[in-house]
Order: sequence, then C-alpha cells, then structure tokens
Amino acid sequence: MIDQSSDRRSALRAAFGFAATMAVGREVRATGGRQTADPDDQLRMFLRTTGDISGEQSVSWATGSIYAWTPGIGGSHLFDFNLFGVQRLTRSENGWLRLGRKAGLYVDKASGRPLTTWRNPFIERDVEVVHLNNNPSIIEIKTGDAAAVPELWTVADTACFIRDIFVTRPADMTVDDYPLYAQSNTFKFAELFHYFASQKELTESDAPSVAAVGSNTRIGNWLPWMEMGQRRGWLISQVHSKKMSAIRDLPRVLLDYWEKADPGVFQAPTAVTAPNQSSWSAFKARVDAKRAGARR
Amino acid sequence: MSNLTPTRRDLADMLNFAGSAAAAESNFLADPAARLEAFVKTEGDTSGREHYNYTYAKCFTFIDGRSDRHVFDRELLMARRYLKIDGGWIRLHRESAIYRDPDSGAILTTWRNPFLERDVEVIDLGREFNRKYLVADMGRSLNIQMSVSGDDVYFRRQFLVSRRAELQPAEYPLHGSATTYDLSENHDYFTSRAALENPKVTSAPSRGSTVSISNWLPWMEMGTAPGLMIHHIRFAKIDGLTDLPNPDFVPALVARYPNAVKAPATFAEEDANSTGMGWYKQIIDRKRGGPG
Repeated sequence: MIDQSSDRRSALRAAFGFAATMAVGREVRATGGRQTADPDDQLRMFLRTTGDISGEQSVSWATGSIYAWTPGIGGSHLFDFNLFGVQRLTRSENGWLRLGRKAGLYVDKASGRPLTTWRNPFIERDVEVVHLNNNPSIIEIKTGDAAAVPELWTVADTACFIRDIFVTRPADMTVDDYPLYAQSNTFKFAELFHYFASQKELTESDAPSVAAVGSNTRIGNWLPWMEMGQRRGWLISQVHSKKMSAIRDLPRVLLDYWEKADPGVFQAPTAVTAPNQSSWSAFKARVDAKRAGARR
Repeated sequence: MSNLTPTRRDLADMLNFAGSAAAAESNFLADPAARLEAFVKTEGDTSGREHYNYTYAKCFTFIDGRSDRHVFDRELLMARRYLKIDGGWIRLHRESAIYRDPDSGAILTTWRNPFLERDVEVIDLGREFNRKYLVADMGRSLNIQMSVSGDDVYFRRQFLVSRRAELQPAEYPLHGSATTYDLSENHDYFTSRAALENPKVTSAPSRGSTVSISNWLPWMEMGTAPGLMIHHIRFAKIDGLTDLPNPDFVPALVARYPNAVKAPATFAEEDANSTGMGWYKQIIDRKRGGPG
C-alpha cells in the first residue's frame, strides 16, 4: 500500500520532473561542526564541492559494486558499476541550474569489461544489459531557502556535505503491464550521498571548483533489465566518487565504450531542453517503443 | 576494486589511474602485507598510539510501500589502538555512542516511537569490538578493497550478513525483529597516497562514509514490524578530543561509560566472536534479570 503522505518533493528530486527542484538536507545545526551564517554561502560551498560555479563543465567519476540483498536470505555481489557525470552550473531566476547528464557501465565483477548480457543467477538465464545513460539530469537549486541547502558537517579540516533522498511513489511500470520488469507497483529507493572536501580550501580560497571525493549508496528496486519480476529483495549500489580535472582522466573503459556508443555523453547540456531521464523512465520508453514497433 | 590480493583487473585499474611507473614503485599496491599496513595506517595508527575516530549518523526507517522517517541521530566515538603481531595486527577498539533528537540535537534518554506512539528507553552504545587483522585472511574473511586515483586512495569494507539472530522474537517479542539478523554495511575510507607512502607517517589523515542497513535496533521495541533501519554515517579520524564539535558529547559519554575515551588494554581470543547484537542481548538480559 502506498503511503499517500509520500514526499512529493522527493519524487521531483528523483529526476522525473522537467527540472527537478533540489530541497534536501536541513540547515546546519549542532551535529558536529561550523555553522555557516549565510545559507547562500553554504550553498556556494556545496556547488564548488560538487561542481564548478565558474560555468565551466565539471566531470565526476564513480565506481563501485552492485549487490542483491534479501533480508532473511542474504546477499550477493552481482556486478560492478563504473559511471561518470558531466555538469554545468548556470544562474537561474531562482538560484542555480545544474545542467547535467550521466552515463555508466555495468561491468563484469571479475574482468571489469562492460556487460552486454548478464547471467541472472536468480532466474538462471541471460538478460540484455541496458547501461546507464540519463540525458538529461537537471536540477534547479533555489537560493534564499535555508531548508534547500545540503547539510554541512565539519570536523578538523574535513568538510562533508550530506544529501539523503528518500522516494516512495507509484511506479512508472506497473506489475500488470510490465510483469518481467516491475518489482512492485510502488517505486521505492533511498539514495545517500556524502561529498568530502577540505574546509581550508573551501574557506580560504575563492576557487570556483575544489577537489572533492564522495560516497553514494542507493538501496531500491531491482533494475528493470534484470528481469527479476516481483522477486522479493533490494538492489544495493555502493560507489565512491571523485571530481576529475577533465574527461580524458576518466577510466579507459568508459571512454572507449561511450566514444563509440554515444559521444554526446561527454558534453553537459547548455539549456533545459527535455524532461529528465532515469534508468526506469529510459527503460520504459525503450520497452514501449519495442512494443509499438511489434504492433505495426 | 580489489581484495587485498590484486587480480589482473586490479592491476589494470591501478595502471589506469595511478600511472605505471608510480604503481611499480608503490609497495602497498602490490604486496598484501604492505596493503594491510596501509589500511591500518588509514583506519588507525601503526605506531601503537591511542587515537580516535569520530562518527555521526543520521538514522532513518526504510519500510516497503511507505514513506521513510529520519528518526534520530547517533554520535559515536571510537577509541582505538593497533598492535603489530606476527602475521598482522590486533585492533583494540572501544565504541561509545549517544542518540540525539534529529531536530533539536538534544541527547535522548527516551525516544518517542512514532509507530508505537509511546516512549521507549534508549540503550546507549558502549562496547569493545576488538578484532585481529591477519594477512592470511585477506581476500577471504578480511575483505578490504582498494583503488587509487592520483593522490586519492580509497579503501572499502563490505559486509553482507544474514545469520540466526541473537534476539529471537519468540523469546524477545519486543526486541527481536526477525529470526535472522540481516545487515548490509559498507565502509568507504578516503586517504592520501603521499601519506601512505611516507614512512614517517604512522597515521594517515582519513575520513569516510558508512551506510548500514539492518533490522530495527532492539531498544526501539519494534517487535516484528516489517522494515529496516538505515544509518547514514560520516566519520573522520581526529587529532584529539578537542577536535570534537559538540561540547556536551564527551561528558555525556563518560557519564554513561567511564572508559569511553580509552582504548581497551587487552585482547582475548573470544573477542573476535563478539557481535553488536550479542552486546544488546547482554544488556537486555541484565535489565530483564536473565535471558529469554
């Protein structure tokens, strides 16, 4: 049953809106660290940590592993994940626009090679892998709203920005219409981010972009291409991230694959031109297009 | 990504990110014992000196089909020492924590359970959690993954646990949430390659992130209500207690556990089998005047 009090802003933040509004975390309080007097100043620090406020494109890379986990049964390491994001920060009427796109590869956990099919151990057959290509991924970040500024934790020289995103909402793909791909009629996930930078660098320099690393955990429904049907359990993705100085610094496996598959992924959008995409919305569009083609 | 014994893929990653010449020079990238020492230097201090890690967690519910809640925070101090032994290290580790109201930051002694709509007594954490890290266990029970990019070195420890619960619901209907104890826990550590490669540095600056997804905490008295807890935890190694940001934290810890800021002095072989839920069971049994 869906809890109707489900946070609508969270749903927007989940990148299904046209330009989702970011309103995450809370104003800094006494949870360990310096209070910034001005929320807009704190927001600028966050943007300098996660991007580049000069308007130049910034690049981040993340890598990690993906697990199946079912309480009462246990968990297993399924495959690894290698992804990157490009983004450009521009001023908007209300604050900032983060114009971005994300692309990634699900890779074999032993060889590191991109998977084209994956042997699903639960259903004991091969499924076609659909790699991540979210184009675009755009968020509007409002200024003048302390509640919209990600929480900042500071200890010694560590500055850590925190984002916790929880989404529970009706699924795009229902079990009746997409029995192979939809785990449930409720789409649910939690996505948890930490971004780490040097407090000294943030406060003592005016650099529009500072060095940063981070950690991101997501727990949610199975990926639709896994064809898990309504099997009970959660998919857990755990990656660590780093802001890179340029596209050429990304791992070769990402460059080689995406240069051939879609070289446009290396350029952040310059304007809001299309609705945001997620793995689920892109997959649904793909299935719907296939079905429409078959009917012709 | 790798276990402590590098695979062909790990080596390819290292060459990709670290540069082939640099990789060849870096002992900790290839030698398992050196890699374990690098991890100890990251998590702790190879000199044997007592040191502290400070963590702060936001604690959430995660219930299928329902929206989730930020129910409380947990502020935790680890007092640790690492001792070199033949074939590895002993980690002497004490962790002590208080819980805070997520809005006011006030220290909680009771917590208003919004599902039960009644107050429950908070059990503050205060336990030893000593472990042996043996080179021989690396890639098996001691699974430490590593990757390198420029000066950034990243270690990960991942735990996926599903085992018989210490607190069985039949015997502990309020505190036992399932017949199995289920845990997915991931620790990410970020440190500097230059610090790891400097033989004069025994404790590399480090910070990181942990996400723990598990059954309800026993003291929440959720019984077998469906759902999970998520702890979203950030941590940093600190130079001393003066780095701690909340002035009421250490006094609150010491009032509850006088040894909270002291690493344990000794290691017993049975320490290696201790569990967090086992510790809760002891506390609950003591409060109830006996097990079951």
